[in-house]
Amino acid sequence: MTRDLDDLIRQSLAEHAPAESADPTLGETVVRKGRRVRRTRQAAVAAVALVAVAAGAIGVRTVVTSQPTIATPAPLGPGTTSGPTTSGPTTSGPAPSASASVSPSSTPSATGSSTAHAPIVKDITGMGAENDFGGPTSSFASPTGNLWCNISASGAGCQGQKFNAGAQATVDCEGSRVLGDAVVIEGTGKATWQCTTEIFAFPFLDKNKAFTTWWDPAIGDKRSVRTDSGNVLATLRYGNTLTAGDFRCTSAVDGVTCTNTVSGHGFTLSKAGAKRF
Amino acid sequence: MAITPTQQVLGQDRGFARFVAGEQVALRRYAPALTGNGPDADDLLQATLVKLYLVWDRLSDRDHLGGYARTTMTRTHVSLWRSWGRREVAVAAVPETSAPPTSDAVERDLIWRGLSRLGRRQRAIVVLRYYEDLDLNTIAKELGISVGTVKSQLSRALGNLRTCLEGANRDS
Repeated sequence: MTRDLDDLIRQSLAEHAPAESADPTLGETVVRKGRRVRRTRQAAVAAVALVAVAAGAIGVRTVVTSQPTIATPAPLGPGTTSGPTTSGPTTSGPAPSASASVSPSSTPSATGSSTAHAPIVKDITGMGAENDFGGPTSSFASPTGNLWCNISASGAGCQGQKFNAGAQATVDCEGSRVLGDAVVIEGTGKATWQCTTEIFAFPFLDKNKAFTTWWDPAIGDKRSVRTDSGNVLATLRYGNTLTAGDFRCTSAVDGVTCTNTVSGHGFTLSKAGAKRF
Repeated sequence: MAITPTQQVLGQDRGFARFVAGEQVALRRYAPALTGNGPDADDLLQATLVKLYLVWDRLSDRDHLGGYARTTMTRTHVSLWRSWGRREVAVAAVPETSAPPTSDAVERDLIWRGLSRLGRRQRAIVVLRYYEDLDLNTIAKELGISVGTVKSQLSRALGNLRTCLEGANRDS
């Protein structure tokens, strides 16, 4: 080593920092985008409310098992730096396979399911859209449209589309718990809360379709919504399961459960709350 | 005269625009240190500012907005959810046998390339330590992880960077 490593790092980072510059239109651009995101959230929440009203009108009875509520800490102010544990991405994953296998399951996870369908387990390892998290990712929605989820061979996670998903307030999502609360399992680690203010799952059949190539009428249904990202949700029917590598997500009346079958860690998320294990 | 909701929103937007004008230079320089490339840095900057815009009316302590913005940007970048649904930006592979490190510039370039091989969290820790000059406790709070994790991740990151340099020296 010809030079001190610390100095080299400092100099390298400073050297590659761009020249000081400012974009006079940036504030305006961000405000426009922020307003659009806010409208999208309001539309999504309204759509969910309409679905709930419609379900009530036709006599559909949904039994929601109460989940332990995650304690919500006091809101944090700017400059306060405690918050969620974040995890770095991993890059490992099994080689993609071109086809998916579908099989009836003898070990159903259809807890609370009120459907008469035989549970289906579909291996979608290698399906979905490529991303920088280490492999193809697929997205699906719960039958109510309340939860939007991702699953890949590297992890799985669900994002609540209603403010009462039970997420902890954190620096990232402080005061903004309408959308974007998510529970994630990554690798063999325990499930953690991730707080975002954007929609990161794309369970749509009309746009971003690369994330929903897993879908077929045998395992899921379509549900109409109105969002900027897409208008037809690819839902995973109650009782059915998607697997990718060691990860497994099951749709049930009492929520979506995703687990790492090796570590046993996972979560159940529903509009009533979240359970992590 | 009472302020209407519309006037209130417009006032908040003007305040936010002033904040962006004041902070964007620092954030523009910080973002590429995290991402390693311009397009991702621009994307990260906008995503961070949109997050701040969405909670702007609820932020009470306006004296620490710069630090709050940096924390938001760091966590946004490290967040798993940000990775999902996005395609990897192609980055040229780091050659295993590179030019001999005969000058400081070459070594600095090797370090920069080595940084691109680190995971997002490891890189963020290196950037916070050596670009922002934060101590380990502050980095831990910034990322919401333990000091022990910061130490171990930083140690691994430095080991990886050292390997890059030593590998180049061996091959020269």
